[in-house]
Amino acid sequence: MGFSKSILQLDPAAEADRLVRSLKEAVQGLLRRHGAVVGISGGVDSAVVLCLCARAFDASKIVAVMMPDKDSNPQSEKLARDLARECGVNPVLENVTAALEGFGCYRRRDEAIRQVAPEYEPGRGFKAKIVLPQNLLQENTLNVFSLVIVDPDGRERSLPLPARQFLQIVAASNFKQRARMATLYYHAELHNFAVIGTANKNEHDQGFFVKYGDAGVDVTPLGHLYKTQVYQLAAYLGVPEAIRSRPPTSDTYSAPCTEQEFFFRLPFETMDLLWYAQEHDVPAAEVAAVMGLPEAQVRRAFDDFTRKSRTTGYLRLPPLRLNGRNKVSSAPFPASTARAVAPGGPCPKPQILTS
Amino acid sequence: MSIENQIQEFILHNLYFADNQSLDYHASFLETGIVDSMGVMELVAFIESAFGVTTLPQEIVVEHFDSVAKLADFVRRKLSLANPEAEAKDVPAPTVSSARP
Repeated sequence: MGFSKSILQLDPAAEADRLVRSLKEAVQGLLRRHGAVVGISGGVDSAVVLCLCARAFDASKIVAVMMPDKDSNPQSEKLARDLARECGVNPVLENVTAALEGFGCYRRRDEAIRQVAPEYEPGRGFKAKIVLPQNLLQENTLNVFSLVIVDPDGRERSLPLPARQFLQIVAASNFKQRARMATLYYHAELHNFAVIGTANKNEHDQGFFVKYGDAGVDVTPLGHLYKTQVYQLAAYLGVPEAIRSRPPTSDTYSAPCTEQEFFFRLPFETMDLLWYAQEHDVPAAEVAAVMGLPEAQVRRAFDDFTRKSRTTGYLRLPPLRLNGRNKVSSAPFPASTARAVAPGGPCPKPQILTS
Repeated sequence: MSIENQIQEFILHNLYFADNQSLDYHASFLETGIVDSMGVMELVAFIESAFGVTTLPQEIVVEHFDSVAKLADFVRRKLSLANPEAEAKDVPAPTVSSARP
């Protein structure tokens, strides 16, 4: 089939049925667990996963966990709770603020922010986020983060972010995803259930996840689906419009921050098509003609995908066993480490339910 | 030591974790994967510290940060803008790369 704007169109009914069957096989057959634990955020990915689980398992075999912290948007909890009830599942609320305070998440993060923006005082209503340049198609900007401070009156100030402070902000913020993972596994072990992940193909392959955080799951049913395909499934499964129309967010920073701002740099409708084209070696000129974009912009997007995949390659690797049988190379990661890692390596990877 | 040489030394000692590697001045960071986005942030800090230049966010683009040679040219332009007379004293850009010592 030639490249077209409809190339990512799913048969959502067939795909949902297949995923429901695969979930049952994976959880009960392969993993021999009695049910599923899903972290629900009020976003579209976790909504789709919960809806799939509700078709695969009896409601008594599902634990849907909401894990807000003091930075979370309260609307997220309401949407998650409403969805769980629509699925016939009683949601469990686990506020992870105290755990994060114990880890020093907020203290360490805010210390780094104040080194760049001394006026930043969360107690007085200041909020913060880190973002990438948003002009990916127009300029050859690199993936270098800026710090955005939002003052109590809503005014935003963008500041260059030095490497050391960037690393501290990210390292501290990643406690959130790891605290959520630990909470999900508490419930999984409590009930002898499996943790069902919510990452989609964009997040997994481009590296928009936290190692041993939100990637710490047993099954990843959406790992082969582009974000726009997740939206197709969401519409088919009856995920409420209030969830489908929300800008996707990682729910990590105190200031509202979309996934496009934080990582992807393009609207999903554009990015998914360009990314599919690059993965399938569609010539840039052909892509440009179909998309109505200058060829230079298509190449810019291709380069960005390559950089992200390469930079985040180590996140997708299992622990390396230095037993003399594996060649340890110091060469940079190939463009797609996900393809380069041999299956059945030393540590089982989450199952992507593609077959 | 030329600007190219200083940048090359920084990369080889801080960003490129391989023994006995050489780094061609014109090798593309993107194509070779030598420097990732974290590395770019460290390069920004390095050139600001080593050469006293200030880098604006909109200047952190592939045209300036994709090879030793491109980055050295960028630094040279920034230096000449800051102090036009200093440009003549700068060591000319070498055309041959050197291996890591």
